[in-house]
Amino acid sequence: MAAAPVAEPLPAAEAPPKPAIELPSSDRPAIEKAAPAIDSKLARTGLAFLPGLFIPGFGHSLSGDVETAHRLRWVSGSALAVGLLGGGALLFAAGSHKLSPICVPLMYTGATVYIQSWLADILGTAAPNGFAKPLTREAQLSMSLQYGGSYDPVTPVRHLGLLRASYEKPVLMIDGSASLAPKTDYQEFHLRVGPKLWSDGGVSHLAFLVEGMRERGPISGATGIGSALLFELRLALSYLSPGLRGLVLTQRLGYGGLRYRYPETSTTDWQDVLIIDTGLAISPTDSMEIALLYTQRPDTRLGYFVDHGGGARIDARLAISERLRLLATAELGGGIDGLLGVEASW
Amino acid sequence: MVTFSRRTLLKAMGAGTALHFLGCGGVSDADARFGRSLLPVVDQLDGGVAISAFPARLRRDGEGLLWIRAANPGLRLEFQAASATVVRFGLENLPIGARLSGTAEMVPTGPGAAAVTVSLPAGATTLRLESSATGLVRFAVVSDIHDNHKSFGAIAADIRDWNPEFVACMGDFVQSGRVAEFDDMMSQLGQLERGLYTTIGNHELFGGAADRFEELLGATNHFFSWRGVNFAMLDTGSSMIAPDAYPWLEEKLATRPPGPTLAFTHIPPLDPYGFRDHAFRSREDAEHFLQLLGEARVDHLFVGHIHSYEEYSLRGIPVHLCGGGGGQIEKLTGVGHHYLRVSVNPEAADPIHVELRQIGV
Repeated sequence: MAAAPVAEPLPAAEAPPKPAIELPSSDRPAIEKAAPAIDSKLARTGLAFLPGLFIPGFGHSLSGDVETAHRLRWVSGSALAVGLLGGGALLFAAGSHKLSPICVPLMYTGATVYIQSWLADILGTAAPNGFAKPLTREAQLSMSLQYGGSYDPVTPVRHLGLLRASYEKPVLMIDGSASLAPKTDYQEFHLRVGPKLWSDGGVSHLAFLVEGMRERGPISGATGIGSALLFELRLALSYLSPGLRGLVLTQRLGYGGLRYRYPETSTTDWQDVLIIDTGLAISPTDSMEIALLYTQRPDTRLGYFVDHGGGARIDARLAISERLRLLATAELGGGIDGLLGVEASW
Repeated sequence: MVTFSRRTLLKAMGAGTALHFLGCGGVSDADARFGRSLLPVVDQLDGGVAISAFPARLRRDGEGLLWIRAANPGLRLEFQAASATVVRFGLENLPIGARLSGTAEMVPTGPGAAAVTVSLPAGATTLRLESSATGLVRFAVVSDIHDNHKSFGAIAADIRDWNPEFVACMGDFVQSGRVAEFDDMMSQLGQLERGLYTTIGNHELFGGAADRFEELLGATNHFFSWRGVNFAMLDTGSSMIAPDAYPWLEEKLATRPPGPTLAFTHIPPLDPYGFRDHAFRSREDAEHFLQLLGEARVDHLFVGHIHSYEEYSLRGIPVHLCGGGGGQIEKLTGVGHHYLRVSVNPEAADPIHVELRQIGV
């Protein structure tokens, strides 16, 4: 049986500086597979969907990839334990605000990693040899410009422009965005800067970031200025198993606060902010990447689904040359944003 | 030329249905509840007299007598009689000391209820509720009962002892939203022995209780003035103010009589603790709402949803988070099940006094 391709290590000359934290290499040996329990890949994938949601690693077990199934069970089990710990404590304390800063992140992290592990099982079952090499690399500089529409009955924002830029080195990352809506007062600026505690020089890193933000509401004109501290983990799942190549997990967790000032009065309000960003990116081909993201932070313009929860985002990238990509974003919360644009990297 | 707004076109294109499945359905649901909040109820009395009541709900008892449940003390009754006649009907859910304007004869039949006999001239007649009470306007505020009979029974007994004119509520009578649970809770509300004026909570939206809520209690958005104090009861069961409700609220606030103004709603626009974020689902919606209340100089905002008591301010408006009517109480705060005693003297420089009343702590 042919060995599944794995993430390529960088040549020695381009190796990143020694990271603060040593993680195992993604260059895992190929995993021995047994014969599939069910011949049809479609049936295995369907069963990975359900009852696979409740039986972690079920799709890989049926595919004969017992080792990957075992690792997915560990991830799912750990996530479930973390989620139940956070959710259970929060339930017991009836949503106590004194436990929320710890329990809410545990609950969401556990739940989202469990879902990501389930999606990884489905996708890995559908593509046993993994997907293409992730399109998102740690380019030194990348910039994107997008423009699109918004449908949200509670705001006057109908058109939206978004400029994003990031500068990444193996030991440092700077990431900024500016969002404006024509004919309204809406403005939103974010700047994140910080060192990478670990980086493989490719897609994966663990970074500690300081975020500064400035926002202006489109209706009230209230201006919020604040900052947050956050950790960002971007991890190629080929670290977990070569069969999961082309899947990249993102977890971002942070705490911060904003002070809002209302324009026509001297009143101000303080809003503390818990930032939860989590997602899974997939590279179906060498020139395409689709990322599913879940975002929860109370200062977002688009807001949340009904009855709380966060918002969802889909980012799709299509490479049209080595340095240029088309970028499409759909964001869903209290309303819908749809943006199209280009991204360039150097 | 007929023109359509972008929103109307999107609705017509089925975007509303798609948005509902994608999670944005609360907008249309909230708008629909708001639309129903503006509708009067109509019926026929003896002698072919047409009656229109707003805001109210109607029922017929076993003897065929029409009972009008006041959704708030701003109840307005409009009669249309072909000739001079005498009509009989019942009124329920009245504040203590309420009477009907004009020459109506009212015979009390129970707490907050009276049988009414009115002589009507031919043509249109309008009657309203008035108060015979004097002095401070006193009312209790309770929210988030969550079908907890024991806790609510203790709160109701304490409220009866204090003897306010009426009770204001911010919803979440039930836990699961089942109709049977809601009907059970409605029978418990009789223990208050006075009018209860409320908006809807998110738990009433879980099952079939929302329809039952509107069937029995009426409007989820309503505004009334009582003895020089203005009350805005606002539906945030879907974690938002219905977009269609904003012009109505602006108009109500702009044309209200002079006097202190209090707003009541279930979900707080912003949680005092953002790490937990039990708030409107959109910060922009919250800011819009607070801007409206702030510009209208609303004096106090009462909210529920979070099972605790907090006093904080938003955009300079004092906010009373009062969610301890019976639901599982937030731990580690030292606050137990509770309600608020509110006394208002519209003539005073500092007109509003709010007292936290804890039960069983």
